[in-house]
Amino acid sequence: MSDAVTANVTVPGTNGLHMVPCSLIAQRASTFTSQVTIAKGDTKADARNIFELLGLGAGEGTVLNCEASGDDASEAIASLVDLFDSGFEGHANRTSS
Amino acid sequence: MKLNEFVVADAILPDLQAASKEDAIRAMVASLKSSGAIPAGDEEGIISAILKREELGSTGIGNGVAVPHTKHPSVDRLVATVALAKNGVDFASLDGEDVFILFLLVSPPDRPGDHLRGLENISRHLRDQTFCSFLRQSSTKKDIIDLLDEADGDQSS
Repeated sequence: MSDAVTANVTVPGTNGLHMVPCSLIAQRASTFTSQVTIAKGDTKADARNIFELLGLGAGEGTVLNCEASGDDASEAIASLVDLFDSGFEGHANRTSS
Repeated sequence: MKLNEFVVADAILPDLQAASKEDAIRAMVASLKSSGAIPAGDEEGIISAILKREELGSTGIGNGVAVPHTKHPSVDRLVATVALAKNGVDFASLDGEDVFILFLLVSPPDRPGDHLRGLENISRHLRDQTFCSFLRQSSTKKDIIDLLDEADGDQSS
């Protein structure tokens, strides 16, 4: 197994990591074989687990640490960084009525 | 933020009979209305906003749990209700399984932080299999309120 790859990301948008972004992260993380975790300080979430991601309660501007280990760790981290940078592809602010 | 601070006790449905996702959402919003947590005139607006949110992706997030929600200007604080569907509801969940535990949230549009803390709190408890299994065994409002109280007591924040 290759070494762990890490990157810091910042939560975009005004709504924080609510359910839509958490679902997108979990979907994205599930496409890789590597173990991916996202941590807010000492609290770590399995990136494939929506419950754990929501449990971070990460608001706008929170800096999170992503870590992946496994064969496609670099790709997984690059993909998650893209997802955060994209502001969750405009989905993040579409839950308002 | 504790569960019993935003879960409206009177609106809890310990025995929800619903044939579909829409039925379940309608029953839960109607219960919030009957308990006075949302204005009667906004019931339909809230239902359609929640259904619209479901079109973005199901809030059936696995573990037999769904958390349908919306923001709506008719509330000035986060309000929620809990329903237990003993027979399960097809919620088009991410894991393809029926849901048995539903938390429905309505939050004010200008307070995204409260919405996030509500979701955080609910999901923290719902990933605990013991909590879910006790919840699914509850048969009265009082059972559910007691369980939420106990969960609130266990959290350090």
